[in-house]
Amino acid sequence: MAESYGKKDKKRSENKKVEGETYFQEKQMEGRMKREKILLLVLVLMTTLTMVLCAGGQAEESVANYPEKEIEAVITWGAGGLTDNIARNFIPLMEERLDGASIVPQNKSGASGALGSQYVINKPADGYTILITTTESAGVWNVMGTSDLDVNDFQPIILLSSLIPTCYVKADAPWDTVEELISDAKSRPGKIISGYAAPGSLGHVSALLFAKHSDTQFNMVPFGGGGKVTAALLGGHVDVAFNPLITVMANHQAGKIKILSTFSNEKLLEEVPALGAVVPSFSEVLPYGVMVMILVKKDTPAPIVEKLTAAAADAMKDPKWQEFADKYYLQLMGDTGDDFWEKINNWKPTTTWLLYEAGVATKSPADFDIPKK
Amino acid sequence: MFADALTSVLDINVILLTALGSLSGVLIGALPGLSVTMATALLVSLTFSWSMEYALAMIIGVYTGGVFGGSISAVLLNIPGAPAAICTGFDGYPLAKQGKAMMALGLARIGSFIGGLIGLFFLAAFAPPISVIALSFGPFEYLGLITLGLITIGNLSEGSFIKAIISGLVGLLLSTVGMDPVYGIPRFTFGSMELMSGIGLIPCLIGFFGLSEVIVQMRIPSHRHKMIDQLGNVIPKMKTFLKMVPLILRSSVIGAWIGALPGVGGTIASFLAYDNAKKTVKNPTQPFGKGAYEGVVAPEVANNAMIGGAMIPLLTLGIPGDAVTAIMMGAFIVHGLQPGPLMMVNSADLFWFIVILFLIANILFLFIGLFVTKYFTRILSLRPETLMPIVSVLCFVGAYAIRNSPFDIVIMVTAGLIGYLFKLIKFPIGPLIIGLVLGGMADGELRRVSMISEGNVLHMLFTRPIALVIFAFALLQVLDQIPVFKEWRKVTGKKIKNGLKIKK
Repeated sequence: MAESYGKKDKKRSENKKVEGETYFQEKQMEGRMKREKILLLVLVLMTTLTMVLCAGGQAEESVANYPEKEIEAVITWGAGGLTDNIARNFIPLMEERLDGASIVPQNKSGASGALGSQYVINKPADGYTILITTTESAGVWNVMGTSDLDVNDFQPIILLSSLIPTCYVKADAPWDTVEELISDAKSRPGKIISGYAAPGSLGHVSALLFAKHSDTQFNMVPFGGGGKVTAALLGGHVDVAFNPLITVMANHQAGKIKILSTFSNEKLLEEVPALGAVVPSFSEVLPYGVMVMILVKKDTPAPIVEKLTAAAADAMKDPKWQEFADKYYLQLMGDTGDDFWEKINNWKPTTTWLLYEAGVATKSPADFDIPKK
Repeated sequence: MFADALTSVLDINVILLTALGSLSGVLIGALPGLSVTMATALLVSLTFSWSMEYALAMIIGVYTGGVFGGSISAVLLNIPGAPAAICTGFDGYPLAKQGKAMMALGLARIGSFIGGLIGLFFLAAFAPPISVIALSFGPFEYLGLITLGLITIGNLSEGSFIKAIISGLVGLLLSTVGMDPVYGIPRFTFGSMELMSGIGLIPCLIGFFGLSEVIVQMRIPSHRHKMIDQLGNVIPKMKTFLKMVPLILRSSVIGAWIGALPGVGGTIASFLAYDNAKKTVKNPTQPFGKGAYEGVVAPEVANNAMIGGAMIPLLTLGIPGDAVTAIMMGAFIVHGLQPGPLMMVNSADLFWFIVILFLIANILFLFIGLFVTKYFTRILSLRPETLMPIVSVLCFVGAYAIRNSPFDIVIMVTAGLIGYLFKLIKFPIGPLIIGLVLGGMADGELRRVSMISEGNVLHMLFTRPIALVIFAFALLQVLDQIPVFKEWRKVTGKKIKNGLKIKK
């Protein structure tokens, strides 16, 4: 583009530049040393602050008077996402039941939630940092090779809720029931395209689970996000997808998609059959869903864990929470203590072995003493 | 329905909240490092207990104001406040150096306003058909668009073409760091868990543009004295804009269209619009990269038209088009509303309410922007040794605040030092950012394309006409840069002309 300009113009603008510079050049050198010193000072200061941040503050607090200060709630998924919305709706209810202590939500996403969890592990086990995460991250890090951390490195407070996936297809798809989809998939293995968000995500595990227990094969393609999967399905680029109810309800009500079934043994929606009821081979692994849970670091003093658990368990009964759960199509859980571990230990073998057998997980669950079901 | 929507908008609180949102949006957008996405995320959790109307008013205000705000710091300090404002700085900062900061900001503000209105028009008038066409875009078409985006690297070089390409490749290389999108296997993470989720765009942006600029300006003070000389010219002449009508229309179509495609985003919209302006405007007011008015207007029009576009998939399909609309969707659900195909039918008044709110937000920020820019330009009268330390503190805070991760500060500082080095040896940074933004997407789409076509990519490409056209267009752009092809085109062009003459 510069060629289109006359040389005169160019020269003129250059001259202008020079005029402006000479005036300042004299003052430049004297100020320069000073500025560089200031710059250095600020950078050193900020770096020190960073290091302090990395190290994290440590102070002694008494267990009996817990909570004496703000509690930090680390959410391992990004702001505005499903987990974040669930957590941010639950936190105020829990606050009310902790003598008005404030719980400050913080999003620390990254590495499927392993980053935020590592942050909690690096903090003291004093109950002032709690972790809100999902099973589809904390339960699979070790086999996926994401992190050495595991749910076992934490102590449970409560299992909040479960988001149950649905199997859905476009409205004009040739299948009206799951059985039709399964028999078609059997007749042409690997030809039907199934979309999912990311490796090891709920959509992916559900697709693997579906294929395994219906003895079918799909061409599974990751799309980088649940929304993009639905968009690709509506555009006809993907044949079938698996996502939680909340994300597909709008298109279902508008008749743009057909929900063939939900990953449960009992009906969740009046018009949609439960997978366990129509295909009996599924009933033993269902209901299946991604669970949102609250954890604290292992070795947190028992009285603190009890206080938090009591507050959380009571908050579960709050009508506001029930109302939110209805809006969000959440399956409320509320398991604490031993019940929590029972649910997790029941869930873990199914998912980890599925991922390992599909070649998604790099390490065998057997290495982590996870029994095969 | 429209009347219902109008009456609910005419509530004074709604308008006040939109104004408040717009003002804070402009301010947050203008501060390097504090992003609009972050601001809306925080707001949404604040507004849980508010009524739906009030919450929406605030969020829409922030969204609209924030996109413009990013350009303020791009023009004044050469530090874009948001990725979508990078291109605005290419010509905006040179303008500021010439003492035309107010002019540049005026262009950006009115450009944003016009872009916002046109984007809104697309939303109000053509939302359903646009969403249908947007859905027909699958992995093949996305890959084509991303290829087009990558090609703009060649057109963004201010000096050496080779340097731009190298910078772009560095960006592409950086984008491969992190978990692989298909198998989840870590790539180039060197055992670091922080690197698993890749090199963050925002910390990189803050470092490459922010911190490196701080170092540059502290070592070599820029032409501050000139910048504050002539602040008078606040409102660009009508004539300036009339001349740009075709450019504005093209840029807004690019912006609205890119916005309507889920997951592509305003950064790419502004890059494509800038690239388009550079290619199509034959006689800019000044050469591109040296203060062309067109270079400021085109990306600003595009990144604001993107807002209207991004609302289309959200309101018609319930699929968010970018990070901010994703957060908005969360807010809708919390307030008991399911955005989706039925929203236009069941709650049409809400649809119109949103459209009118955006309209009001646009008009409000036109004035708020004027007010804010007037005060913001005063920071130019600050000495670098006062201003730059403040900016560098903002850089650190901003990098940390995105994910509350100290590691992002490390990335920001590294990027800042590399960026300074780039500036010393005159390597352009823009291509690097494009590479970083598009690299991850290109990787994902390419893999999807090969998975869906089961390896027969070329074979399947010929069954997809839209993708084929996009790729052909991309190929043409590449060929256009090859000397042999240029010669050939000249010769054949002459032949055709001669042929026509003979006929006469």
